[in-house]
Amino acid sequence: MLIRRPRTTGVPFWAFPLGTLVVLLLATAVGEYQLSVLTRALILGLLALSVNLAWGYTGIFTIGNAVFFGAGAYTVALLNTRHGLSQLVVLLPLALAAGAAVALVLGLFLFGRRRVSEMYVALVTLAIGYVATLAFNGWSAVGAANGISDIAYGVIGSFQVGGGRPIYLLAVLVFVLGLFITAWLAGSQFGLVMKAVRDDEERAEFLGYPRARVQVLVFTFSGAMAGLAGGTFAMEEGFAAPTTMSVSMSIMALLYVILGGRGTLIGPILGVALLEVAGRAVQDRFPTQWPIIISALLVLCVLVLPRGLAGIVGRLRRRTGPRDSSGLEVFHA
Amino acid sequence: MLELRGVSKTFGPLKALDDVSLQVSDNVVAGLIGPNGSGKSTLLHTIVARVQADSGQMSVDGTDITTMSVPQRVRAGLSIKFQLPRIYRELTPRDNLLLAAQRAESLGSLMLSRSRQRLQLQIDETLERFRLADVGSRAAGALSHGQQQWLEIAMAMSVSPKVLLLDEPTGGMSPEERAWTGEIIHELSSRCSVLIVEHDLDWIRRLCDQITVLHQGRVVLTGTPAEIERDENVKEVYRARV
Repeated sequence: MLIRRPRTTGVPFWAFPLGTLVVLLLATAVGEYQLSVLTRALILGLLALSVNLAWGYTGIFTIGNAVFFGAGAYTVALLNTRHGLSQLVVLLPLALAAGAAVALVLGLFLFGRRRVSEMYVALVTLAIGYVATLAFNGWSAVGAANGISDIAYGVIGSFQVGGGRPIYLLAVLVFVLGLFITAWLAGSQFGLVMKAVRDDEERAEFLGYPRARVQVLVFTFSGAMAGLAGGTFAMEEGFAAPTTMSVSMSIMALLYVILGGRGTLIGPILGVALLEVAGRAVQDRFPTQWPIIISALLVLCVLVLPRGLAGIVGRLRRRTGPRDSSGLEVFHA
Repeated sequence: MLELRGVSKTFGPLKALDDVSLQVSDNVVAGLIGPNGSGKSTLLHTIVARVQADSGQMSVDGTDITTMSVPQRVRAGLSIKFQLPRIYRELTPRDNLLLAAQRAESLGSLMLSRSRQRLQLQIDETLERFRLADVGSRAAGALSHGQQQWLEIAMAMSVSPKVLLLDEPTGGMSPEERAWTGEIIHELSSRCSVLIVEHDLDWIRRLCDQITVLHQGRVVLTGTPAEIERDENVKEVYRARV
């Protein structure tokens, strides 16, 4: 049997402030269009992080995180357009809470009673995404298929977080927050429990861990991150529509993680960077052929790199010297 | 102390366990032997709720565990080492042991990694005691079969059990490794009761204070190794093997 080396979270501690600095400096170096691409990539990156937390670290194969994303987006849209609320310090925590609440209810239903297979989780979350999209498509109170548009820019105090750099900085902030929470959880002793549940949940129970509570908790965290991403997305795009919670959105988030490498911190970042940033460049250069090019690239990656792009990073790192820890060195050197 | 009273389990037409009663007192090493298919592993799995008993009662130190879930039974003091090592192969032995040792902590405390430093000393000692110090930072899946067995015994002990259940702890080991495993189990019995399922009858006779012979799901006899060796019914079950 192939013995794989211990998984690593993939990045050393110093990469976090350095990466944040680089991303912040980009705001001054790129044009308006590129900035909007990067903003969107960061928000979708947070959605990918939410999938990675659930699936990559805990083995919860969710194909429905766009539902939590949509819950966050609609929360912001409704409060903003119907109640005139624009304070981001209120709106975004509520978006986060909406995503968490939906995930908590679904998590209790999924994991509350007995152990379930990955495929069961995948099918139920897929079905929930499909049903939610259908329901919102026909629900006139939330704008039906058109969704809710004309969302006004949010404010922090009296400062308007408008398009361009301000919304980009907001996207950086929420993304770094999501990354920090993922790194913290994955590197903590609780992170070991998450991995134990992922790799052999029955064994985790035989060690005395409350498997259901761990899964519901992580799923709720994942929903909270997706809700926060959705709220930020609604602010950035100016609308919330059924497409924000669609199955294709969930699958896109899953693809970021598959392509980048699940169960690593760097994986979702690489996946989003390749599909949203490089992919956008391919789209601009090959306006009609780009779906074929991207699809072929994805298939190739899955076949050649089962551990995603992060697998290459891991291999390169091992060539520079043996690393034997399970990756808990992040924040705990 | 582990006590079973009248435990039965049926799979379709097969009576896997038939009115099994058994008592393992504190600090006693008890062996469970019997031919293949006699119900030994089923009994262990019933004790830890992997298999639900149809009838009977089970208790640990007087606490009725009959209707408890797996994690509840572990918290009540049971711990098991499976027949095939079920360690976390992609984690290091150190992390496997940390997982076991930290299980009494609350999830909130684990998120804040409050006990990581405190448990390191205990983990270092366990690695040393189980001859795993040199491989503590490798992937557990890369360890030899014997080392994986020791790691799982160490994990089972790290949850500080009252009753330790070992399903074929020496499977696939060399004679030297078997002998050393016997020594370490004997040492562990000063901290808990031990119930072992094992095929190596010489090994179990040397190690155990008490042996129970199962045949077709029924207890044939429970007694000291000498009593078991003398008994005609046991000889009949095993024929010339005892």
